[in-house]
Amino acid sequence: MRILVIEDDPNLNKQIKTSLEDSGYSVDFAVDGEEGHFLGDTEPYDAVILDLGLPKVDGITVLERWRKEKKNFPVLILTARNQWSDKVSGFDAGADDYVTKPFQMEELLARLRALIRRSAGHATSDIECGPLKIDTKSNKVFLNGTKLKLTSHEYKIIEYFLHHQDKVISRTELVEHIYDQDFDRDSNTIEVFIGRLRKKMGMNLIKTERGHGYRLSLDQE
Amino acid sequence: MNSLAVRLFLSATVWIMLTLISASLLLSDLNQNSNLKAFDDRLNLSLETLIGASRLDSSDGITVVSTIGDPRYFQPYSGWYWQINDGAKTLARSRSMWDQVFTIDKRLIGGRSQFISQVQENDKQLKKIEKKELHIIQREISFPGYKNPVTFTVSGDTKEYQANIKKFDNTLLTILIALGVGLMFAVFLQVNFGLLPLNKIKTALFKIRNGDEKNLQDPYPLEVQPLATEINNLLEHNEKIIERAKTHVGNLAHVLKTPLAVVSNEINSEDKVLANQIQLMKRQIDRYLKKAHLDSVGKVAKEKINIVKLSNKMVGIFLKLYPSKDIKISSSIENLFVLSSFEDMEEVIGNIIENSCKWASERVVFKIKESDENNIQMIFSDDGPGLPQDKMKKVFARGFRLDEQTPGTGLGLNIVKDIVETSKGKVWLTKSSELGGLEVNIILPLSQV
Repeated sequence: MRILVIEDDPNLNKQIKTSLEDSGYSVDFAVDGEEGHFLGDTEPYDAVILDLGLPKVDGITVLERWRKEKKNFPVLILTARNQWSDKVSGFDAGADDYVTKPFQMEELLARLRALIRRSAGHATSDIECGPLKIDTKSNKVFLNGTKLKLTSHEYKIIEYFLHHQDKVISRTELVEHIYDQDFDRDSNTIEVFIGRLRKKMGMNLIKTERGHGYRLSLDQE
Repeated sequence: MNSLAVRLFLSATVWIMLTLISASLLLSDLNQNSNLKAFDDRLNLSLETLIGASRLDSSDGITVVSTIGDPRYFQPYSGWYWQINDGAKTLARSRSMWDQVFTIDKRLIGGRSQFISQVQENDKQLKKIEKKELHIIQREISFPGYKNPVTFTVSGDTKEYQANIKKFDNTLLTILIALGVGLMFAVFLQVNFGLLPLNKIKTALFKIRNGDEKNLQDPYPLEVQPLATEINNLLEHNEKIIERAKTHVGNLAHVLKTPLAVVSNEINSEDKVLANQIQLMKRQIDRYLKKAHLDSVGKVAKEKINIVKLSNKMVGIFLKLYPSKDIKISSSIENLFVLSSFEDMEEVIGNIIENSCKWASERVVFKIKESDENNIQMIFSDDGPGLPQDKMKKVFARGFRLDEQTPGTGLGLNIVKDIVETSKGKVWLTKSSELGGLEVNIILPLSQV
């Protein structure tokens, strides 16, 4: 899952980035509204954490622009103001959730997880696909109740597949959602990861759609 | 003299009164003079006729060969008399005098129009017989061949012109009173018409206070326009100050809270002392922020707010925030307006639904209805654990928190209460009979405009 963090305070920005990376997300960050808007406009993110008080372009405006441009990734706003009128203007602009500063990092992570799940249409923190189950809270994957040992990249891929079941996902899409923008991307490594995942699961849940990409599905071909 | 209208009206009244009274005095005087002169002329004519009709007779006496044609000189005691004297000796007199005689008063001789009552007073006899006010004229004539100058006296009853004068004065008074009343009415209309723009400003200001309008919009007369412009500037200035103060408070919150967030994320989770202190700081900031917000409650320009529309929007937000909760909203009527600010109403509805969602196990029901023709009632119920009776009042106190675990400043319901009460409404808690949890009731006055 790839997340964009837009927060003008460099310390807080770094803390959020680190915590998110520790929780298995790929993170891009921006420190002003202009850069943040550009990133959200050009890169496919699974969720955005957006501070409302930003230099150059304020958070509400950034959000409004994205929504006008039909960018519909879930957006969690960070606000220092605890008044409902500020939250309402955030929701009016198209926000999906809010966290007021100062916050506990655990709270932010929990809200973000719920947001991503919700936007993918899942109600609980556990997502299942047949014998495969993922606990997004603890970043653990189970097959028939047994925990799978996965590297962080493998986890990111299987998490993305579980959030988008039965959907054809191209190699490029996977790359875009698994690596942050500074990472040296090589779509060939994806093939290696998929191969390892299939091996670890011992069953072919990830199907290859020739010329299109991959698909996580219970269907038998 | 605090009223402009009274000032204008009184000054105009005084002026009108003065003018009318002097006009009436002048007219009455003119009329009296002309009446007097006409009467005088008639008596003179009679006197001259009498003189012309008198002849010196052979026995050295005076004979009146013909007399004055007016029949009143023949009616006894009519007040119309004539008499011819040679010193104290009466040579001839009119039939109307009957058995009376004028005594000759030297003062009158040669006079043209001499009045009367003095003569009368001297002439006790005459006064006694008729009690009339007489206008008397006398002339002394020397006849050739007669030894002494002869005195001719003619009198007329003043009743005739007195009545005329009185009648004229009465008519004059009636006309002038009518004129006065008419003028006062005209002044009244003029004052009211003239001061109309000021009344318009008053109404417009009332509307501004009620939140129906933002500033004075109509064009006003030249004299009042500067005032209207100044009021508009003042209103704008006021709004800017409030806006700026709010921005400052918000900015302060922002600059304090972000570093606080950094610090709280930086500390070791085992360091309870530091964590508690940070929590405390956070709560204090929130508390002062809310306090600043509370101070502005009711001071922002009010506007008409459709509570039903706003509530639906707020519920939409909570459906997003709490997807696992079943939040229902229903309203007995499509539009219900309250005079307040969006900020305040969002705070009220937001705080209460958030509270309900936090405690509800599954369901939250939000109902809006007209409680009577002047009030709107909002009922928020949930199926949560509810509150014991003795705590229901306490939760409105500043900083009171039932649960230290769930995030919050403990100021939510306190703010709700403050806003509702400044808007002349009521808020109370009860046990929900429908869902079994807590029920929050709010009554707010409907906007009458």
